[in-house]
Amino acid sequence: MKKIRLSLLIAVFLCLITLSGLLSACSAGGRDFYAMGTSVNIRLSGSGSRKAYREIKQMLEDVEKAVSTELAASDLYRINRAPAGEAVAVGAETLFLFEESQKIVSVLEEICGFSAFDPSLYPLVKLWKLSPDTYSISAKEPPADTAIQEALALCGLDEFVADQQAGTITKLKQGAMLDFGGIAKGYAADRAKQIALFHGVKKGIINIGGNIYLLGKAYTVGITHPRPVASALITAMSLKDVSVVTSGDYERYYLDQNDPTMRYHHILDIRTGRPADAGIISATVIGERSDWCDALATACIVLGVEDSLALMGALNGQFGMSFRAYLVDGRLNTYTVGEIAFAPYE
Amino acid sequence: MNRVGQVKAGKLFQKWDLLIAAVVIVVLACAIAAFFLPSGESVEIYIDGKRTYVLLLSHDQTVHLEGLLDVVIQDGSVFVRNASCPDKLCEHHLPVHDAGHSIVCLPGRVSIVVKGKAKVDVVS
Repeated sequence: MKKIRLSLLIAVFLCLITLSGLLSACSAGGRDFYAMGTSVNIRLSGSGSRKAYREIKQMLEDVEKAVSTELAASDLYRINRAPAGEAVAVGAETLFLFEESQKIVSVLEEICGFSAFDPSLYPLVKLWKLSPDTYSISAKEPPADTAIQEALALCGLDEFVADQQAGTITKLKQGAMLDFGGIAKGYAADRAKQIALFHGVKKGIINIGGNIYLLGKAYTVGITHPRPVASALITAMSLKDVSVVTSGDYERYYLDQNDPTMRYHHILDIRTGRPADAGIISATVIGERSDWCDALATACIVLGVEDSLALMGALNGQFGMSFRAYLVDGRLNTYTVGEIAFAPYE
Repeated sequence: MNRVGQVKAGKLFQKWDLLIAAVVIVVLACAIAAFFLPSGESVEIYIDGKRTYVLLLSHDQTVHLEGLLDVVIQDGSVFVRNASCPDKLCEHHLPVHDAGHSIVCLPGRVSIVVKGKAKVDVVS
């Protein structure tokens, strides 16, 4: 009888191990859904995963309701349509994103001399037909210079004032508009990471439209090739417990209908009012804060190689943060800031 | 009864032994099937986050998603045709063939993902 019990135990043990392996293989896809106007994939493992999934989904819906430029009644929808001088009541997420944007803009202005990332460029983004409601990939003519100058006159984060205590944001100039598209997904990835850790998740990948957070173990992250070549990736890197965000001129763009060599993409330069043309076509930023990585990846595209390298050097150590970066220029030359463990991908 | 006695009595395998052996064989068979059968890559189509189609990448075919787009599998790659979304970005995406890669149509909320043994865990 003892022998039977022992063999039974061993068999049950073997079965459990095998079944757990099968289950984890089957559940490797995690949860896929749409939120914040992008596709979200979250793969978590650990006892609190289910609760974390539910809470993250709810958080993403809340953030979208607050900062979507499209959803009627969202904070940004109301700010963008409000007359100058009207204090618009906003939620904690919107206030946080506004103040974090102010910090990033002031740091960039101090180091680079201008705001290479700026959430107040929305009038220009709409003029260039690069906002989600106006965009299509079909070739078209760029806007007229006078229209660009008029829209540019409405841009600048100092055209807005936040009142933390009253919970309001007020625009100072009629027509000024905000868009947190360059930071909100990073913010959401940070929040998702906090939720996952709170629920005891040991490891996993949070991917909110390419704003990625890697938790608990080293994962291989492929970086999208910025140009249409046979290989979909330009490189891959092994990263752990950090966020990684890539921006590029290939994400939302159209070609000039009269000059197909001209590409108009969604990352605009506040100095010119035109799509950034500083030489970098893809920027990957790696760091602990996904919202900053998101904004800095955009900034690198605007700054070009030399200024981006200088920015990263100046930023490291400030605010208790450090960043690594992988930049690709138009000739597909690559530049690395900080130590990155590259991994095989082919 | 000792072992010799059990053999003589025709009870070399008792009821429990047979049951355990059967369970082990079934689980191992499942494991072997799970690890070796799906060696070919597949294409999964998600509409609004819900997995709607699972197709073999090795089998050329076109799936018409009414009001959205056509998913075309051809020569081991998958791409999009006839997108009805306003931006048409998905239609301009190069064909994908490697596991882990995807084509996303944001306005249509359609994701087309190649599944299989991926070389990377996630793509940025």
